[in-house]
Amino acid sequence: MRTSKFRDADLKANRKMGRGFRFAPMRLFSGGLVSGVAASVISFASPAFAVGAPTDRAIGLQEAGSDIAEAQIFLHDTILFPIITAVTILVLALLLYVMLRFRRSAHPEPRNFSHNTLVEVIWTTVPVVILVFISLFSFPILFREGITPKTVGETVKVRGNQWSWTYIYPDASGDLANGFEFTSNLVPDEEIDAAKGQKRQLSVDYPLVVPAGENIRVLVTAADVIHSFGVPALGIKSDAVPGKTGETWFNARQPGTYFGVCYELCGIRHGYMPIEVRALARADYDRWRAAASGDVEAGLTILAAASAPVQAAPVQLAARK
Amino acid sequence: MAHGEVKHDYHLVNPSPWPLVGSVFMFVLAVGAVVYMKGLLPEPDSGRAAQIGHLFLGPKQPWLLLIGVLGVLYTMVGWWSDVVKESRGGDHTPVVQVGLRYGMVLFIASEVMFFLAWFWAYFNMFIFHGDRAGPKFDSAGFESLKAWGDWPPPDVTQFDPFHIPLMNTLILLLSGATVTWAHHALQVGDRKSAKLGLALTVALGFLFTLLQVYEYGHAEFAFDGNLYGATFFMATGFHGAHVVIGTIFLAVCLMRLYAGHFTPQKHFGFEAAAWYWHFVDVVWLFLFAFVYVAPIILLGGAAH
Amino acid sequence: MATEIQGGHSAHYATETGHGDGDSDAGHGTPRWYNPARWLFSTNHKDIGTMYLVFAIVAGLIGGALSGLIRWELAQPGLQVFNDQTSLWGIVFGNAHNYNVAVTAHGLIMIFFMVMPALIGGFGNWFVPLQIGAPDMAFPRMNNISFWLLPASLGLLILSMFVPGQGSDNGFGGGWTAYAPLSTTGHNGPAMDLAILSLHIAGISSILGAINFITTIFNMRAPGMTLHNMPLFAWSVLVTAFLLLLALPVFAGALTMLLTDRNFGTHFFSPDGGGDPVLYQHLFWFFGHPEVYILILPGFGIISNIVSTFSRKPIFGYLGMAYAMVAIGLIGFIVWAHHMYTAGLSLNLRAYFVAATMIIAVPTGIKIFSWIATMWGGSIDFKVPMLWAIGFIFLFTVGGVTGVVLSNASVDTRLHDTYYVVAHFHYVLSLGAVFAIFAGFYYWFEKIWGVKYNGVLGGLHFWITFIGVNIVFFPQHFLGLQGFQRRVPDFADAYAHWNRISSIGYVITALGTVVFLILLLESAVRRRKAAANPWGDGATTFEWTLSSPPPFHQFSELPRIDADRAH
Ligand code: HEA
Ligand code: HEA
Ligand code: CUA
Ligand SMILES: [Cu+2]
Repeated sequence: MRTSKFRDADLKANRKMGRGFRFAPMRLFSGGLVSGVAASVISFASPAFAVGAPTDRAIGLQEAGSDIAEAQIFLHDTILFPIITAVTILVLALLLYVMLRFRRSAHPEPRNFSHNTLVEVIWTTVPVVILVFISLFSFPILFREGITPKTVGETVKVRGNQWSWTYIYPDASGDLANGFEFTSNLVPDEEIDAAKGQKRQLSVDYPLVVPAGENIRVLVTAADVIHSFGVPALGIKSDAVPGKTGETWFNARQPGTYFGVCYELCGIRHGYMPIEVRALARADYDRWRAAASGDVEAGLTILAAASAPVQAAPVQLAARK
Repeated sequence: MAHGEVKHDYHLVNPSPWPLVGSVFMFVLAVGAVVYMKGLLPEPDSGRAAQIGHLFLGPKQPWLLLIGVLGVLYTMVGWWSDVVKESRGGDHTPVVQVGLRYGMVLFIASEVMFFLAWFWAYFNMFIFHGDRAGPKFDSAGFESLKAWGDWPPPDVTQFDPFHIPLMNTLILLLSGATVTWAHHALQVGDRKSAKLGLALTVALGFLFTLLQVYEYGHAEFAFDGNLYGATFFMATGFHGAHVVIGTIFLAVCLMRLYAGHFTPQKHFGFEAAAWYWHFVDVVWLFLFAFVYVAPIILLGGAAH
Repeated sequence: MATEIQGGHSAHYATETGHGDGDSDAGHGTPRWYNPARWLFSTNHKDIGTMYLVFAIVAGLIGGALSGLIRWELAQPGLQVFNDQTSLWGIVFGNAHNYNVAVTAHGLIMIFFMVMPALIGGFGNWFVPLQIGAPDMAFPRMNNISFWLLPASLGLLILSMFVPGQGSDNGFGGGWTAYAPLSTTGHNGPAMDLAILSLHIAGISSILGAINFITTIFNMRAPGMTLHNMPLFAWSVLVTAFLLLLALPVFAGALTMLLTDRNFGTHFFSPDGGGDPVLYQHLFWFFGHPEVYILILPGFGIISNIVSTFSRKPIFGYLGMAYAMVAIGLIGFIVWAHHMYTAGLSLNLRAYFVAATMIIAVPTGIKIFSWIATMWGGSIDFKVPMLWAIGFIFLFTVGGVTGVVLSNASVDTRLHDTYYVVAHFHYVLSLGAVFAIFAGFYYWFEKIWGVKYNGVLGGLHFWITFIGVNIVFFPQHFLGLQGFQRRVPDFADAYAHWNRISSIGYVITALGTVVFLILLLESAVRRRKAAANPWGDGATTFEWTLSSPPPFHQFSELPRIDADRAH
């Protein structure tokens, strides 16, 4: 169990092991310490094809599929969650104490003070200190999240439509205007094939395919109303605003499938425009690209082969019961 | 002190139908506005009932809106007539007058915030127009956006600020002076000068509106389909509406002055009108500086 | 005791005076309660306050019923309610669009027609004049139009649900935030226009109310009452009124832009004419964030009064409490973009808004701790209002600290527009503001209605609601952390478990509301006569020196406050 403070080295080590940064407090809270350890072991041992998706009954953030997601988990699970829990418990404890100690029957005569400079100074400054402490961790992560690294493996452009996503790939010279594009739709309930690892409300016909282990720059825009492109396990969410281009980036640590949805209310089928990101090893990705740039269907065959492990032994990244 | 008489100077207003009547007409006005803009019933079928329904609920039918507007105006006239009567009846004691002052100042504060929204929209385009052509700009599907990389957009010919707008600025400043003159005259009991000053103010307000209407008629950009036009006309248009309201307010005061209503000690209705007028004046100065002059000076846009 | 004070201006009712209904303390000059003119044409702050409260209860029941539809739909994956069957069912409930209509109406009704009328219009009207020793509001007639505009506004909103919104689907389903362009080009029918005008009118109502409250508090305090010994509830309404006065007009501007974009061909928010959809978000949240403090500040004031009353101790750190509210109000105007972290703002801007937002935890913490310090050393009586107040302090803290989590933009990337946000704001609203409303309702019940309620039923109402709402909203944190998005009627199977629990919690909450209605009925039937001051020497504010209900016109002779009056 790692509870050490957040360091890049930790992240690298974790990435090598191919598993997420594990965090104790949230898990203890759920009483799932043991299963948590078990899940780490499984994900460590299995073939490296991950699934980033929600898990039923889970109570924490989805497991990290990228360093940024892991940093967010760190900030939430290790910094914020313990602090807010402590604050809440402190307030609760104080309340319970005064309720018991100073109830009418136990304390019939009220005292009459209404000032105490010392405690007032304390309860003003201590929160300030806590907030500054939070900022020390929060800001660096914000800036890491917000600045696309200089070395970018691939740039893709995403366009939200009512109600589907269009993925636009640049041509070999990096020109988005002359590349290829395809539109990705939800797989209807009746066509969902659980054996293939498909999930109701999450799986799509043509996933967004990217190389794993590389920085992917995502340009996000929309054709009609505002949508929002968000993939929890990858730690990204960027509003798709018509007429504007948002930018975000991610780096999927390992090949896998990462599910997301449209996060901004966009009309009647807002709940029906999921996102499926398929990260492939570079070689697989190149083959997919070569095929898909001519014909998306052809790309699917390659995708199926490259993602075989997910069908055989899917590894639930988000195993935080 | 049971059954005692009232020993304070506050004004306990008698029950009044106006709030309810006004609200009913506000409702009618709102429904009427939607009927006028969109219609609540589709094209009429045959049949008399359907046609009557269409007359009041069909698209582009102004009748319900008209009823609402007239009703609201009727309410305003009735309500403020009551206020004037109460004032003349002695209900507006000094402490009540202080309350009225607070009320008017706060109302103007809320109006200032209303204009903030229009200036915000304007400055958003003015200052950040570069963004719209920069890396955040996306032309796919929005080819026309390219034109908005500049502010004002290249196909917009702005008004020459040092022509009618400057004149209007001087008119409003002058009217600010005349209304102050009227106020001082009223305070020293010189009703004749007060009338003259106020009449001049009303006239100047009217002149401003006339010039503004004339200028609108010569705009080389449209209100719709055009962001520059939208921000320009909505900001200056709402100002214009306030000028009209202020002019009416001042005109009512002029009539009341002729009717012998104000005294050197007590003339809050007049003061409220004057404050409102100064507020309208200040808004104009901001409009003049930032909407008319600044683009020409800072960005060198075209003007005529 | 000044039980039968008569105002000098009740001549209007001369024909119907006499002793109202036998068992009330109403003095001469009090019109009978069934006289319609008393209510329709009212210029009496207490009558208007009562109308506001009744209106709020009705709106609360409508809003609560709509949330029932929401929870019913979300009880399990798939479409249960809004499933567009071609049967009568489908005609009644419609499809996924109508789900969004229900969510939108639920949010708007709860905020504009339940919480604001209850706290500001209802309790504010009733008790600001009483607490500052004023005979009425500054502008009694304007007070009445503030009220009557609300039924007009609610009427428009309800009407909007039944006229075409998008294509052939009825109602506006773009969320209470009404983001453009979904609210402009995305909804072509008249429903959105009706909703816009509804909000315009609600806004006018609130602005007029704000002017009235500020003027009343500045101009009509009884001799000897300074701002610095004024009860904290009056303080809270004062700060709230300033927020209303300054925030709502900006919203009115944004709404007007929506209206012209929709109907007159402007392009403020549509990119094809050069406009900017994000501009709408700035304008909306510049209003919207102060708005959420508008919803909670009067609650803070109520809780202060109650905690002090039932601890039989003056409020701890009175000035700190008052100025903490001022600070919250001021800072509330400079944090709006924390709702827009994913909208593509520059990084520095986001960093600024993180810092500014987190600061609000400090004055809010001062309030929480001062309430506890007020109880400390007191002699606490756990009457029904105190139960709600203590519940408020704890549950609001839970909602507040999740706000601090959300304020960190990097984590908000994960949580924005998920149920974590829904959980956050229901903890501060449905478990914060609503608890404050019920606390105030039970605190002032006898004062307002002149009869007693059944304390056992009141306690039952508290405990059932307390358990119910926690079961509804605590699991929503888990859903949000797992990425469950807001405003969808159907969801991935992995979100089934906690959604089911949440819906079960709703049933419990609804049960609590039934107990509330039974309590109202019981007290109306039994009519046990209320005392002037049921709470004893802990209740020190002016309203407790008057009969229950107070005379139609109180303070015909203004009360005086000793200079050293303590709080
Ligand atoms: C009553 C209403 C209310 C109140 C009081 C608050 C209070 C706060 N809110 Fe909340 N908020 C809403 C209503 C409210 N909010 C609503 C309706 C939305 C969603 C709108 C929508 O999208 O539909 C929202 C959304 C929202 C967001 C956007 C989330 C998103 O969409 O991604 C954020 C982000 O910063 C936020 C932050 C906060 C903060 C920091 C506070 C703070 O004021 C809280 C301060 C209180 C405490 C912190 C607890 C007490 C303090 C202590 C005990 C001291 C010690 C504490 C510490 C040191 C941590 N809120
Ligand atoms: C004050 C505000 C308020 C209150 C009280 C509530 C109460 C409840 N809300 Fe609501 N809710 C919102 C404000 C509120 N909500 C907002 C702003 C949204 C966002 C809308 C959007 O996305 O656009 C939302 C959205 C929202 C959603 C998300 C929908 C979605 O995103 O798809 C859900 C889902 O569970 C939900 C459920 C509930 C439930 C079960 C209650 C239950 O607690 C209801 C039980 C009923 C009561 C507790 C009220 C009882 C009160 C009275 C009867 C009045 C009493 C008055 C006096 C005594 C004077 N609400
Ligand atoms: Cu697209 Cu929501
Ligand atoms: Cu906010």
